[in-house]
Parts: sequence; C-alpha cells; structure tokens
Amino acid sequence: MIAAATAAIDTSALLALASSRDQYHRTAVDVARRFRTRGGRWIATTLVLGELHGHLLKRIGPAGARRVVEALLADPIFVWHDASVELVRGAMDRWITRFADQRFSLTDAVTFELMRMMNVRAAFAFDRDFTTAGYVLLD
Amino acid sequence: MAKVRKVREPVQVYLDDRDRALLDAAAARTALPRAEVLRIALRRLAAELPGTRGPGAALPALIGALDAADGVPTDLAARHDDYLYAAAPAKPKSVRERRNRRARK
Repeated sequence: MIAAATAAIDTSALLALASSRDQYHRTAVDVARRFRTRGGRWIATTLVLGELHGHLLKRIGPAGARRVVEALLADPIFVWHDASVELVRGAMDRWITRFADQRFSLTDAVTFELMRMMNVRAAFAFDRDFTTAGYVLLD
Repeated sequence: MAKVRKVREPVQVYLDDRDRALLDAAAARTALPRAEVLRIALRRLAAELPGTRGPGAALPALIGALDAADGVPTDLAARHDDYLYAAAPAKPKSVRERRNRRARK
C-alpha cells in the first residue's frame, strides 16, 4: 500500500541515514528504502541542506560535505525548494509566533510552512516538533 | 502569500483497455489521482533501472557518510539542533588576523 507519495524530509532523517552509530539509523534506512521502492518523493527547503552541510563540515570536512550535498542536489527523489523571504515570513507568522511556547528552529518552521502550502501531511524526521506541529512521521 | 513554484508539463499517454483498467484499479486501491499513480510508477521504474542516476541514487553517498568521523553521538539525529548550535570550537584564525597580530608585536 502506498502510504505517502510525497513527504517532507528533515535534517534529523538525513543525519540518521548518515551515521550508522545513530540510534535511528536502522529505522531510517528501512523507511528510506521502502519510500524509494514505493516511488515516493521528498520535499525540503535549502535550509535543511544548509543544516546538513554544517554537520558534515564539522565532522568529515569540506570534501565529504560537498560530495554528499552535490549527490542530494542531483537526485530526483529530492525536490529542493528555495527558502524565500515570503516562506520565512509565513513560517514566522504561522509557526514560530503561534507556537511561542515551543523552541521550533527556523528550519523546521519553514518546513512546516512548506508542508502546509503543498498540502503534505507526512515527514521523514526523528524530531518531535513535527508531531507537535500536527504532522505525522513516516514509519 | 508566498508561492511555491511547481513546474508541470502535460504528457499525453494512450492506454489500451487493459492498461486503463490497471490504472483505474491502482488509483482506486491507493486513493490517489490517476496522474499521481503514473508519476509513482515512473519513479519506481527509474529507481529499478540499472546504471542510471534515478531516484535514490544519492542514498549510497549519504548512508554512512559520517561513519569515518570520530565521536559522532548516537543521538545526533534527535538532538541535531543542540549539537549544531551549541558552542563550537573556535575557528582557526584567518591569515589577516595572524598578520595583524604579528604586526602589533
């Protein structure tokens, strides 16, 4: 059965895939393989790429970080959206201001806003903020 | 209101009765529009073709990319914001900073 043809992808999922020592690595690999086999497509903004690149840069250096980001940019399973000023403004108004008691990162809030605009309900993430925002996690 | 750019190109496909019945049945079972069923089938086929840069081709580059690094915490995915934005070690000084410092001595 096809669970979700389009889902958002978060930095937490990309990092879980990137580190086999991560507590969610095995789950992440299973979810990614199933999603790919089902013909799904992930959406995200360039802020997620920026966060991932920051982690990779810190831990494996510029060459490794560049290789991974270039591969992600070239892969048609990922649809990358610009984090425009308008999208950020929507994220501020609808998520960061409205959920003032939460510590949503701007990257997450922009993803929530992108999901809202594209009517996407599911996310590949290991971050409880997505469920707080009312979205479901791929499993 | 912000607009998310979607590029879409119409493609006309001729189906015989059997393929049309398959498409209708798949759409009914998945509760997806017929166009989405066709898109999914296309991506699945592309992913299965050997030797192509199809959907998911980046996954081998991503999976295990951090395994060569020391000290990657087991809760990196769950707490990535904390690890990224917590105090980072100071960057090496730039050439200009080192020159200025030498000049002051």
